[in-house]
Amino acid sequence: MEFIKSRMEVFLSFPVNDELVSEINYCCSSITFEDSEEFLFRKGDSPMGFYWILEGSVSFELKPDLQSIISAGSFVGMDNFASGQSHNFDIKTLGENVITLFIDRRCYNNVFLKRHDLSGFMLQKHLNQLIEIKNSLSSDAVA
Amino acid sequence: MGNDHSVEVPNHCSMCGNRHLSAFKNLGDEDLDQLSEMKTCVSFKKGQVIMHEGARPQGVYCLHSGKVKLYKLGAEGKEQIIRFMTKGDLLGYRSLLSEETISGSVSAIDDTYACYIPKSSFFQVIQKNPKFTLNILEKACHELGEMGKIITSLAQKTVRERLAEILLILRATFGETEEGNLDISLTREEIANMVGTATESAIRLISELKEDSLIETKGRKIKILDATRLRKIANVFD
Repeated sequence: MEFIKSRMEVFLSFPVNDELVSEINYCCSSITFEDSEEFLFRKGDSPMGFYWILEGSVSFELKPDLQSIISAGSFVGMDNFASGQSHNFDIKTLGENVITLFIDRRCYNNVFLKRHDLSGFMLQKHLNQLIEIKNSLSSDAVA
Repeated sequence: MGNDHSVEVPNHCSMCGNRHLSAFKNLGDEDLDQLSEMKTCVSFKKGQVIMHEGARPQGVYCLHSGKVKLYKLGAEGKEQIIRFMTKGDLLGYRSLLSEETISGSVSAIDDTYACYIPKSSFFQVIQKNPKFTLNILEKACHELGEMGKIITSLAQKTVRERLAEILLILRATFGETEEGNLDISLTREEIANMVGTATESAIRLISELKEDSLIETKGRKIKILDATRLRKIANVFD
């Protein structure tokens, strides 16, 4: 729990209290991907939840030679989760020991959606991620 | 993961009193040393989610104590409880072996202690130990058989039959306390979620079984009074 709190304090611009950390720890599952190139999602996976990257980076495999890199603090798979569509890209770890929290529908509704500051942060992170992907695709198109 | 814990669970797997119940029962000293070195003991509070449907597990949990439920969430967020698990049971191994996402969420229904074994260690033991692989295969086959029973039961049995069957399953899985009650505390909603019906229907049917002197209840405590008749109602013959 201390680790989750310390990471949240790095990412969030508002105070992180123990109650919130405890709620998140209670309803999310912590998953550490020890190896590089481990799949968080494979193309076609059902969108039952999404990951919050607490430490390390992951890559969206947009095309065989085109990746978009997402770093710690971001939420991965949220767009598919929100739209209910299966994952359209492989998403893999970049490097070892990527530490994540997995958030499902119940946890999202009961904790994340009820906190305006937290859901605002998620939205901001998600928009940044979409811009990153868009930039990767447009630079590939120019090249 | 839950909270780190190092008191309730023995540090070395060879000292574990539940090893004979688990898939690790036939492992030799060397494998047990390796597992003991790599495992992390974790505690989960009642209600805490241990594994989520849709996630990719990076290891397995071996339950040391406590009870957990495996369930799937419907579109409306309603739970369908698939089964319960207790000490010695292994969580997440099937998804790990098949490289699929987890097919159902697991949460603690009691305070639970479990040992987390990372997938690298798990696979090393599998590669080195054919007996262990066979144990895992046996477990997977048994679970497949149980799933078949559940599908048939949900498709063909009435709610009353299902309820009777589930009470018998709970007794077989968790046993009874000294007072003769089922050694598991479930809400009426959880019982309904296992039967696959509305909570109101489960409450009504529990009352009917009480009126017929098949069971006795006091709050969440349930005592089976007449297992033979309950078995007949459930259409269970084995």
